[in-house]
Amino acid sequence: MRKSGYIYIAALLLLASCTTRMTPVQYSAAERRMTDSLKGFDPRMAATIKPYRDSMEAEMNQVLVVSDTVLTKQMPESDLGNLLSEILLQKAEKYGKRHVDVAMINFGGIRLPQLPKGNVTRGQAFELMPFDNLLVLLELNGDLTQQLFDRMAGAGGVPLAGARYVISKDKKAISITIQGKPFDPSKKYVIALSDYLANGGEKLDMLKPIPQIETGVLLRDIFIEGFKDINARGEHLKSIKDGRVTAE
Amino acid sequence: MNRKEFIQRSSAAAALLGLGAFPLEALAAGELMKLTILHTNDQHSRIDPFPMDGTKYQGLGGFARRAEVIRQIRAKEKHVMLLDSGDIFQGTPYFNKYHGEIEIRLMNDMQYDATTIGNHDFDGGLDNLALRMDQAHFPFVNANYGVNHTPLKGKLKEYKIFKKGRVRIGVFGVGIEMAGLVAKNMYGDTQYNDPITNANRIANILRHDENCDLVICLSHLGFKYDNPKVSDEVLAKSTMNIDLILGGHTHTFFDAPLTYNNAEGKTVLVNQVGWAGICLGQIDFYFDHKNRKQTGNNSPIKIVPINS
Repeated sequence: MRKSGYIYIAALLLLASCTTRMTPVQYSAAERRMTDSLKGFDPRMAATIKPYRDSMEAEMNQVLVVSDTVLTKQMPESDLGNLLSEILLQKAEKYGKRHVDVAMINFGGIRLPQLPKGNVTRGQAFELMPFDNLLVLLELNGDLTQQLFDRMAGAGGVPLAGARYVISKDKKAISITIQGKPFDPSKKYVIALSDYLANGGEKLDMLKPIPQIETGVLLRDIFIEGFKDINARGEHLKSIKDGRVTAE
Repeated sequence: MNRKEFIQRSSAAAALLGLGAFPLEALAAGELMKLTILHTNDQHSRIDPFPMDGTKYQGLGGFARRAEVIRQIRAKEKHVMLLDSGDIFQGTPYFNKYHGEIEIRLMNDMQYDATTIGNHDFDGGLDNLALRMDQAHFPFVNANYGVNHTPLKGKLKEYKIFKKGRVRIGVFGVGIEMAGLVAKNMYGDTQYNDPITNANRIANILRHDENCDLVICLSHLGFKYDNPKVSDEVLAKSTMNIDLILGGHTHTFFDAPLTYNNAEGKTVLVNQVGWAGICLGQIDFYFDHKNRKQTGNNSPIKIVPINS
């Protein structure tokens, strides 16, 4: 018995080693859009989701402000980018308790491509800025400031407040003005940004050694506060492009 | 070993297709086996469809809707795999509030077979990711992250083998470099290793040691870049033994899978289906069930659109 067992195993191994793999001879493909026209949804799954949604919505459906238009994120400059970076600059002065020259946000850090017209909810603020990034301030010398602007230009133009510049053909920042004055390489500038960027995110390794002035405030909370401020003044969200970043 | 090459067909199958026959008859005759691959990428916690608010993707997506579409496909097809290419997490308040619990629970319900780690799957930190991996009924596969000094040790697998009918499918994953993309405190001591070297290493194991008929790479590298950064396109061209790369990260909507020649001139398919569960990708492979011998016919695999 034992012997035949071994033979059996050996035969199997032999068979296995001779077997060729199967080969796909044809494929077909589809991208199935999950659209309203499908109308169907799995009721069991919908029931699973419901208590999560109810609890979340109770918190997230709070209306912060009303927007007059759809605001869109774009390069090199956009109404949405300008709005958020202006709020960031203003709040950076409040929480940093000092004069701040420039506020910037990485393009990928704004996670909604558009903010809709109408009610803007707490939930949308979370979708705009889902990351728990904190506001920090960095004091940069002229050289590092130029490097940072070059990186913004190289990225194609990211949300920015407090400054203007032109993206040159070789993707450098030229004709920089900060707080309305021409960029002075001998000066130091205070920049407001996320701890993600200050810690070298987006390959901004040159920022890593710079001491961070911490505020302990989440960027998301800053946007929420900024939206509420606008609402409290009886105003609606509106924003325009003003040519602060252009490409040569 | 007389390995049949992917995207080749045997003379019998060639004759069959040459007659213009869609493989339905061959399927019925038991000569071909159909394997349906369903896939998503960059779901980004989009549990509910995008709200009807005038924005670009309003009304699209939604887990419960996708679950229904998948249920209908499973009811019709015998051999189905459901795969994901990472960035399950982050993007709606569901993640901020529940930290991935609901995404994993719903993916369990949909019976996902495997996923990989996207950069945003680190966003709740390593302990959170380890917890979600424990809760998942499907493996997270990645071959280029070293996790031995992290909470993911013993949880993250390099690959998994599946058997559907007589077809063996090897599924592995590759992930993007975290430095500069993910906050250091989130990925901790996770080591990033070269995706190409490790993809080749694992694909070779899957093809030659594990004798897989189909080798699938779940990639979160991104489709392609205008710089030398490693991408699915680079991966496709510079590796061997991979048949299908299901990509993510760049949120690219493909109209149909793209074909590339790999490092030894064999065809590899690359696909990506946007993000947020707006699309469910479907690729049906028909395997030559009867004629398992290599015939040397080099004609390329036939591509047929699915009428959905």
